[in-house]
Parts: sequence; C-alpha cells; structure tokens
Amino acid sequence: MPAADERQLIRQAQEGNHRAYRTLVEQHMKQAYNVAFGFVHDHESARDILQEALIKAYEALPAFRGDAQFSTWLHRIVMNLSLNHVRALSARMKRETPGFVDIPDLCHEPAFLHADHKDHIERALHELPTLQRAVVILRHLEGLSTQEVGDILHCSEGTVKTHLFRGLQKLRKRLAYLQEETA
Amino acid sequence: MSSHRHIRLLLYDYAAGRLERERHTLVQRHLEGCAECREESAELRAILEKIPVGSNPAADLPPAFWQELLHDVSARLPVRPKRQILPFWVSDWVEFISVPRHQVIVGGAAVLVLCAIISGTWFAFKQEPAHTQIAAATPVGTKPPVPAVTTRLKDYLRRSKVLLVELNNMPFEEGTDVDLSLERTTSRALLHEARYLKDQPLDGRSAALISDLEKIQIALANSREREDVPGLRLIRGGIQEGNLLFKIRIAETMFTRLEDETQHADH
Repeated sequence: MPAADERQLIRQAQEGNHRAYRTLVEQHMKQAYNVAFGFVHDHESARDILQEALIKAYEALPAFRGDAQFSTWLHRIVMNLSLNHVRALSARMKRETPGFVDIPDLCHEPAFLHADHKDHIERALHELPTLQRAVVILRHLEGLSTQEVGDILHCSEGTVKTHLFRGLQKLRKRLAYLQEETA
Repeated sequence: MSSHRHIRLLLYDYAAGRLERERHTLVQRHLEGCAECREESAELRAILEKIPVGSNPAADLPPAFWQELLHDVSARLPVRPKRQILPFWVSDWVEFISVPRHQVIVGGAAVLVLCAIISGTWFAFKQEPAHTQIAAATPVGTKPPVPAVTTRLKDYLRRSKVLLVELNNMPFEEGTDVDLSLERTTSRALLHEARYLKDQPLDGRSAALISDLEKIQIALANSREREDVPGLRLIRGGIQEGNLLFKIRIAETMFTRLEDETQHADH
C-alpha cells in the first residue's frame, strides 16, 4: 500500500472511522500474528494477543504521530503483550507446578509444553532469553531491518546485531542437540 | 560506512544474501583483511544453512480465521466522539508544524506575536479605566470569570502542570511497568474540577485548554495502575503534541499580569 494511502487511512481511523482502521489492519495483521506466534507458539494465544493489540492500537491511535511506521508501532504493542503473556504463563507455572524452576533471565515456557511438537526450530527458539528471542523473531524470521528492530525494542543497531548473533548461535547449538536426541 | 563496526552490522544480511551489490562488495573487501569478521561471517552462514530465513505460521490459517478475528475486533472497538472536521488547509498546517524543524520557526514566530500582543494589551490597559481591564482580556460575547472561579482555574492549571511535569520526568526502564496509581487518582480529582470549571463562564482560550487537558486526564484516569512503557509514551506524546505545558504557562502568565494590572489600577 502506498505510504500516502496509509497516512490517509490512519488519519481517518484517528477520526473514528472503523472501516478505515479495518483496511489498515488488514495490511499488517498477518505479520503481527507471526510475531505473536513466535513468542507464544500457540495459535489460540497468538490470536488473543493480536486481538488485544489491535484494540489497544485503535484506542491509542489518536496519539500516534507517525514518527515511526505504523507497522513498527503495531509490532511494538504486539511484542509487549506477547512478553506479558509469556511472563504471566511462566509465573503461573511456578505457582501451580511444584518443583518448577524458571531459569533466571531465560523466561521461557517449560519444555514439556512442546513435547509433542515436531518443529525443532520453534522449540529451540522458545528456549532463548527473551531479548534474543525477540530479535531473532523480528530480524531473522520476520525479516525486519536492524533499524526497525532497534526502533521496536528501543535499542541501538549494535545491540540488535549482538543479540541476533548470540541468539542464532544458541539456536544452532540447541537445534543440533534436539536433532541428535531425535536421531 | 566502511569501518569495522559498521561492517559487522552488515554481516547478517551478507550471510543471508540480502545485501545489494555495492554493500556486498564492500563487505567482501573487508572480509579479505579482517579475520574476526571472516570467522563471524562463516559462522553465520553455517547457522543460516540450519535455520531457514522467514517463518509464516499465518499463511496456514484459513480466510475464515481472519474474517472472524476482524469481526471480533470491530465489535470491541470503542466509538470515538465526533471531532470537528478540519478544512484541508488546517490539516496541511498541522502536518507542517509536526516537523521539528518547522516547530522551531513557528515557535519563534509565536513568541514574537505573543510579545506584540502582551505589549499591545499592556498599552491598552494603561489607557483604559481599571474596571474594563478584565473584559478586555476576554473574547467578545463571553463573560469574564468571577474571582472565585479564577482562583479555582488557577489552582486547576497549577495542579495539572505539576501532573504533566511529573509524567514527563518520570523515569522508566524498558520492559518494566510504571506505577501510575498516584497520577491516576490525581487525574480523577482534576477531571471533577474540569467539569465544574467548564460549566462556568470562561474565556474561549481557558475553555479550550481545559478541554485539551481533560483528554490527557481521561487517558490517565483510565490507565492501569501499572502501565507499560508504550502506554506511558503515548500519554507523553499527547502532552507534547498539544504543547500543553507551554499553554498552561502562557495562561498563568496572563493571569499574573492581569492581577498585577488590576492591583496597580486599584492603588
């Protein structure tokens, strides 16, 4: 969609036009869904997060000034809601599962949640530290630029690069281990 | 863009084959002379062979899933109060002044105009009897606020200013929530006051300022006790966008000046 059209839709949605907002959202919802899914690895939760994010984005739209792209702004909302979801899940597991120990700074879902899952990459991804996971999802899996990821995560391009490299290194090691285990 | 630090930022795209020709050659040349980057690049290539770029779980979902999602979202969208539709030249003007560089120019011009108005008003006051001074500061057709209302208005503006400054200076850490419980309570109290003031005979400028402040206070009053950082940024954006602190200061200056003039005339 041309940038001018998108700006026009944003302006109309800011005025309260639901149809304009729907058209705007249709352009970005699939990528936003992929970001949420990358974090929660569950279609139902990803749908809930995206729905919540789209409502929150509409409510906050009058304050959107266009400093960043709409997609970047929406991704930021999706990512924050996804992180809240992962944290809440982790806290609930700690409360409800005796002996469940969360690895400090890893904030991942317990491995047994994915015991039946075939996709090793996604399983390994879930075992990365939060920030590394965010960078790998946005940069590697979603194909956003270093600058866009930096904008979403509020960090420098150098930091994005470092987290990406470390995240991918860990991912490769974990992947090798899972493949060996299966073999 | 050819320093070691910058080349390192490009290594991922180089390994993924996403660089355009010019940058690709730049990285290639750097790699010839830099063992560290060569090693990192080789490792990235090995990783990317194992982990394919791109992932699209959304592609597996049927169109009905998206239709249902959009339907659910539409059903939950709040209805915004109708805003006045601005003529195109006003929208263009708003767009023009949203550019920081233009804001400096417009700000400078506004200060000059303001100085001219203040000095003009001052001369006008000097030449007219004291009892007409307050009326001169209010637009034609509106009654001047009675002294009790003025006192409450000043107090409302002062408290709003404290709230906005506090929000602007509030420290936060990325990824953590911010405690807004106190600001929420203050905003609710200020909203009551704003409703009272809006029922009083006010000059147009004060009424408009109260309406602008009300929007921020409503956002705060409806915020969660622990708001996330993007939520706080949005509220701050609203404060800056409306130039609210600047407007409060101008209103306060005008009030002080009017009071001084009135006292001077009484003596």
